[in-house]
Amino acid sequence: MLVIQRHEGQTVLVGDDVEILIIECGGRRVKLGFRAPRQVAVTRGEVKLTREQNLAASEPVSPAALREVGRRLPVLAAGRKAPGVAGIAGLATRPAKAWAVPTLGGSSGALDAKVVVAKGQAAAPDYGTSSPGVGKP
Amino acid sequence: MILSTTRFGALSVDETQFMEFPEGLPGFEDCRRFVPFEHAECAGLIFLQSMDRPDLCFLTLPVRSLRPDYCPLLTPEDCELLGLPAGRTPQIGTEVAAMALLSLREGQPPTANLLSPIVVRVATGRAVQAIRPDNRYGCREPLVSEEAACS
Repeated sequence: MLVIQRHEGQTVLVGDDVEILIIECGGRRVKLGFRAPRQVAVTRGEVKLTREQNLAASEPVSPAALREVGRRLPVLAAGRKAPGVAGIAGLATRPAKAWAVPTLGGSSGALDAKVVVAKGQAAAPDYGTSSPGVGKP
Repeated sequence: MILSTTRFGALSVDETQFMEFPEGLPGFEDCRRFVPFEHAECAGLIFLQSMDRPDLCFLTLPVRSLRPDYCPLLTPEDCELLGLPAGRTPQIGTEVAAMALLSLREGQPPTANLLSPIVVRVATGRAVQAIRPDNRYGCREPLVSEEAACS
């Protein structure tokens, strides 16, 4: 990695088209300005991290991995009782007209969403476990 | 309306109850509308099913079920997208809900992205993936914090 020391007000050039200006150096953060062609994307490193992590999180989950997280959920239940965390992220306290998180699979039936059985087949998620109630609203 | 999904088959959803991401999510900029729901078999987990892509369904947990003291940090841009005043931390539970996307890979411990939680404004359903401007949390945090696991 190339390391260059710069002072406030000085610039660094990347290629011919990209200019980085050191606007301000604080104790803990640096303010930078970027001048670059429109087609050059300038993003924070965390955005790239988040994009990569989103792509990983979007991969289909295997039944084994889902069972593993299910096994850990009781451990998490204690945290869910923390103040301001009623129901889903505290949505139990939402105004009546706001959106809500419905439950599939037959239990509470709190809200409108339910699994619709297509052509007599139970729409079971692929957990690899039995799914009583799914598809039987 | 009936939503066709890869994982759950045909879902009947209330189309007024979706989350809308005005800018999508990083990596999924075209996916703006998601339906949240729980499933009886994994109560506590929240599925976020894309209304634009049948095969896209995220798994999430409320951030405070992972870290009871978690507070999302919103940038002024996040606040603007949510229609909230900037410079103030919104109340989790009343004003906003915050969820962490989970990454479940076989053979690896599950992790949660606490760097960039999904923050949804309860009153409107508007949502953003709010990338924290600090480095307090990572994008692959264990589900149970080390302090909690040791106590």
